[in-house]
Amino acid sequence: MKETRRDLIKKAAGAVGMASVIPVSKPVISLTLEEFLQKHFKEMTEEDKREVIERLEREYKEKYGIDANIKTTPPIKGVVWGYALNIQKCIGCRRCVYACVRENNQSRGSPDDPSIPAIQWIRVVRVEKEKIHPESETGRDFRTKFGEVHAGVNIEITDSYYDPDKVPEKDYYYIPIQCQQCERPPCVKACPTKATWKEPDGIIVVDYNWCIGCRFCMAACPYWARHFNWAEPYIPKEEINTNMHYLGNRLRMKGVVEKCTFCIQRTREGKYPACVEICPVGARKFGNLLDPESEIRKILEEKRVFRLKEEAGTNPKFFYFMD
Amino acid sequence: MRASIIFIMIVIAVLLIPSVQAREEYSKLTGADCTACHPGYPDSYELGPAGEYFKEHGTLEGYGTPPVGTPEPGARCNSCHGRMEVNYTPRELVYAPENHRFDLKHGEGRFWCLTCHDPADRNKLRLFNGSRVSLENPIPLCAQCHGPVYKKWKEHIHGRWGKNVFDAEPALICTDCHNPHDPAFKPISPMPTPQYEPAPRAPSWYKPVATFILVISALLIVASVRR
Repeated sequence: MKETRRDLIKKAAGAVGMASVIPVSKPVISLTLEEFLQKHFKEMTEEDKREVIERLEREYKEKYGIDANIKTTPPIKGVVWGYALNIQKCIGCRRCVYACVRENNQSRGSPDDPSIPAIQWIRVVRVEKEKIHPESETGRDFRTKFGEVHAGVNIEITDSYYDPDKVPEKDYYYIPIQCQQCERPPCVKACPTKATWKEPDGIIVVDYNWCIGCRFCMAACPYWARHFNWAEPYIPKEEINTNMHYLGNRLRMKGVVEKCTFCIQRTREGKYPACVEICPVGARKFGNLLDPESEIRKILEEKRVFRLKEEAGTNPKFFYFMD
Repeated sequence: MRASIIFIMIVIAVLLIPSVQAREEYSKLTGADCTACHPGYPDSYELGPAGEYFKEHGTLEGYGTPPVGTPEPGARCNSCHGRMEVNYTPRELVYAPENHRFDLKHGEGRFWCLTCHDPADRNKLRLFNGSRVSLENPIPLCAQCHGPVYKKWKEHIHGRWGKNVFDAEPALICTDCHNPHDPAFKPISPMPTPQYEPAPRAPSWYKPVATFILVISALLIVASVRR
């Protein structure tokens, strides 16, 4: 008698526990069997990839009514992508931000529902030229092999919501910040499901179907480069870019983390990322770090280059430079 | 019969008046003669490109290649300038077609049209050494003053080079980004600011349901412990 009652209580508690789980993890319920049994992208054979792509294209057709073309283009051999940005030329016009949003199918932010936020992978911060000065108060002391230096700028005090009539403004630098594609990415280390990893061409990618939305990577990233889909992304149908890559700009779902992939769907075909292409002042440079003749290597050799938060030891492949 | 001949002559005279007026007005404005519109004059009245444009639009405003933009292969500058006297004096162009009238900002007042445009062949640009380059390819002309920038451009560091990362040939040249008559970039309006990312909000049913479940579980735990 005692036993049965205890069992009953256990069952009841279990049921209550289940009930508390179900509403929170709503997407789990809508999983199809195919999706549930999907392998990790790195373990997929060509056949598996084809099947997954077909399923996704079917889903997008049903959900958005678009004919998506999802690719799984592999990295180009002998290429590691690097990026350089001339902060002396950047005028802070945010053209890159919106070119990126269009190219990579980021949520636009619903005009009707404030709980669907806009997502932007590039954040342009404005900083006073004075504060970038080596002797400014905002710098920090570093112990280097050349002795103690006082340098750096505190990114936390910058302003990303500046809105003057015309840019550039006198006395300001503009620093666009996006994923720095680190060589030692802390986000990859933090991911408990290996849903994010570094590709052979140096790009950090996310498999959205393996992301569980724990957001550890967001906490690990020192550059605010990762963004979470708090809600089902809102993209007007006619603005969807149908040229997609499985690891890049394919349509995301609620509850996954997304990030800049150097426009993997473009760069793996030899094109420039959308932000490079749109930049009206030519401040953004992109190229192959392994080719000594490439523009990025020339910049590294000739210009004064720095990286953001170098002290974090992440070794970014995103360089900022001045003439 | 005589009356009809007189009538026809009057009609012809009336029809001729506007063209005579146009010619006078045009030559007064530009210093060109009939051959500006009829290249074969006096042997033929066939219209040249300028004449065709005038016939179609009734004015020469807007005729010719725009001063900035994409110079077309058969630039038509010489159809007027070939018959005009070269005037080397820097001056305000009052009567020239509209696309010739603008503030020349390049060179901070030291330049005049003929610094770059060839006085003898207006379809071409002229280098310091006297050689000519076409309007479509002004790079050697720009490079004679802007050497360091030209070097950086060739190394793909200044501006943007190709359409693709591995392109050997440039897709954009100097004048694709810079207005040769006013080369400095102008301040532009920034795009909208980013949204403040709102804190995630739980749906309205979440709080009562969660409270209910918590209370029930607490009661069950208490009950089981007391047993």
